[in-house]
Amino acid sequence: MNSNPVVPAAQAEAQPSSSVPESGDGVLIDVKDLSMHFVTRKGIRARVVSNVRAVENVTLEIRDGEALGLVGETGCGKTTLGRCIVRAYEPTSGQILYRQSDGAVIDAAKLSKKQLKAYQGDVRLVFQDPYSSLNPRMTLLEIIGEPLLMHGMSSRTDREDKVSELLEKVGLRPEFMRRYPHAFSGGQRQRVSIARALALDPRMVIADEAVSALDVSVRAQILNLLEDLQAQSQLTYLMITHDLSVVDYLCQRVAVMYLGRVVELADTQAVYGNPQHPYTEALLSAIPKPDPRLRGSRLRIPARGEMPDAGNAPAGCPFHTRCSYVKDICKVEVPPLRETAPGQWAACHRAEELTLVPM
Amino acid sequence: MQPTRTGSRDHVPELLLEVRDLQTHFFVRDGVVKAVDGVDFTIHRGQTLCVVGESGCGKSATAHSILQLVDEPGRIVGGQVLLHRSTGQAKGEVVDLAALKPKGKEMLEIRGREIAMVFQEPMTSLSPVHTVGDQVKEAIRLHLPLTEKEVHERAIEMLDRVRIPNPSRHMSSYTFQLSGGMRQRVSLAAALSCEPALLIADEPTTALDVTTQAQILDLFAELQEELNMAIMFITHDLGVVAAIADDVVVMYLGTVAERTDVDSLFHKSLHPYTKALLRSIPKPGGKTRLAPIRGGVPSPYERPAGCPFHPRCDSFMPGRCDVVDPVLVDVSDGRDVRCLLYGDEVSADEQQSRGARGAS
Repeated sequence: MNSNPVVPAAQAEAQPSSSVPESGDGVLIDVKDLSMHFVTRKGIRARVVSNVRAVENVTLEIRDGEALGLVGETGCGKTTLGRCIVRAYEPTSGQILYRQSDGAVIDAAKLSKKQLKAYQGDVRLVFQDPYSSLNPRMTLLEIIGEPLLMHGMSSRTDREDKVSELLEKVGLRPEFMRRYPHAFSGGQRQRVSIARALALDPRMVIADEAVSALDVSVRAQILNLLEDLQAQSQLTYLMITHDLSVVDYLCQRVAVMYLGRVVELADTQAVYGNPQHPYTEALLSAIPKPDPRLRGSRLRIPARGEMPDAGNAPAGCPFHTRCSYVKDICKVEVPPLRETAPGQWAACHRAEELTLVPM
Repeated sequence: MQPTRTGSRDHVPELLLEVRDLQTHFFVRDGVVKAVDGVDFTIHRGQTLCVVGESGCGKSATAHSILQLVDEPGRIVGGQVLLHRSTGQAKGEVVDLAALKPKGKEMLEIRGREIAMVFQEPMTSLSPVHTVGDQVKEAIRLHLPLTEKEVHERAIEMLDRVRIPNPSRHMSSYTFQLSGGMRQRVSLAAALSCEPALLIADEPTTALDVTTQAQILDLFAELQEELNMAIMFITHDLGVVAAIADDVVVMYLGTVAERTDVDSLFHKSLHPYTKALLRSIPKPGGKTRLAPIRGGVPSPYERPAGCPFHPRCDSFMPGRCDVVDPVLVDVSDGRDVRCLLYGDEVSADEQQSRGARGAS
């Protein structure tokens, strides 16, 4: 185990006035030391054959009303973290402190079934693939109305009213509610998924690669919709994505994950303009720039090779096997997430001495 | 590092493939889907042509038509695909691929040998029950007169060329043991094993992470340099286009909306569809609100009359765009655009009323 990292959340607790952003009333969800391990056992003695540490000691605060981006490569644990927060998974250890609308703080990592239902009405998930996430045998009314029914809206006319209101909110015509998902395009289906997520007037929406499967023009429509919905209903977003331009467009803050750990956390502008972690630098340099005149104008800093298997993470800094700036200490000691520049947290031993290339 | 290829366009590159008025239709129960409806473009030796457009605009159908890989109930119903051959005795010969039998001897010789293809999801094109080595060797054995030992050596060499670490060990790996990026390298190794003159790549990096995508794009550029190979790269990511293209074809509903060099595409685009596509991508560091294109790509059964883009177009001219189907016209420097805002080649009765207005 590494030593206790200096974490933003701890600071927020100690001196609430200092790190609370102007935009919101503080922290909505405070994730503390969250770990999610997937243990595979085999044989009659249940011998442990692998232990995938998908999420490892993640500490992260999600502020009320913000859009927080969560980025990283496939397999870095960003989806698992999102699913832990929405409590589709029961985390192995750690806390998910959720500030309810009445101001009381509960730990969502340990909830009774009844409490969990209320929590999951407040924190909703939108999935990546609008083709597999909607039941083809249910009409839009049934799809969007299902969470309403589950949460006690038993009158069919009430549900119809609410669903037509929701369809309008996401830019679809209310008369579509009797149709089945196959009648709709990818962009329209994603609007349906968003309508379903909004059905219970949630406080937070976790969008897991919600725009990745869409065409550029449709993606722009959905991004604008998400932006508008946030402005209308003070929603909080956790945008899980591998597309850094989406984060740049929509999110005020961004957390970069690598092998189950948050390696950098700061305002989007700060991360893109002054990255503190070599992995962030590698990610930023890999984004293709939409201008052929920028071709070859800047050095590409590649991340060598590929991300190691999360069941077999390297010792020391998880990124050291691919890092261009690796030193001896990186191979031994896990760097804690600490404030390496004002308002920027990074988990790198050499953050202060390195000058990294911005986007 | 990426070679800067935009500057080296002085010499006229050698013609490799000409697609002329290609039409591929799918005859389904509900009607005829004109997936490719009169497409023209050319590919030059050693250059990269990017084909962009939204889903359902016929990018993949065009690529499949070139290789005669169109599935039932689709059929090439018109046009030509002229390949200027370069290998063996066939050197200098021009064949029309669209006229060849899909399973005929000639097509089998060309497919995989002179024109190779890689797909978006390598897992669907690679076999899960054969080793990496077997799959690369199969392509070599089929086309090159080599002994089994030479085939084996060449397969290892190909794996090494696509930068697979420890290639001789990976010969006996299975594809499910590899990551997405490594699988794409394997399918690239198989595709390039006979040093094709043209590689058709259908969204080869779309399913990959940005870092892996950057590695694969670099690899494409390096191998293109080494093999003097032309690449037809299908993508919907304009960032990728900016990074690798020499020329670009913008497709919409089975037709070519615009055909241009890459610099003009980003800095002097002509067609309203191209402009709209560019406006809908987030700019780095920019917080300007995105301007998405209105609506979506229409259903293939409800193809609009006139210009196919007119219901979504910002420059829509009522009474003209919804009536006249524009043709692809040459505007300048080998750039073509299919829009009534440019050029005069419209129907005879239109020409009279437009007499005063010249080409812009």
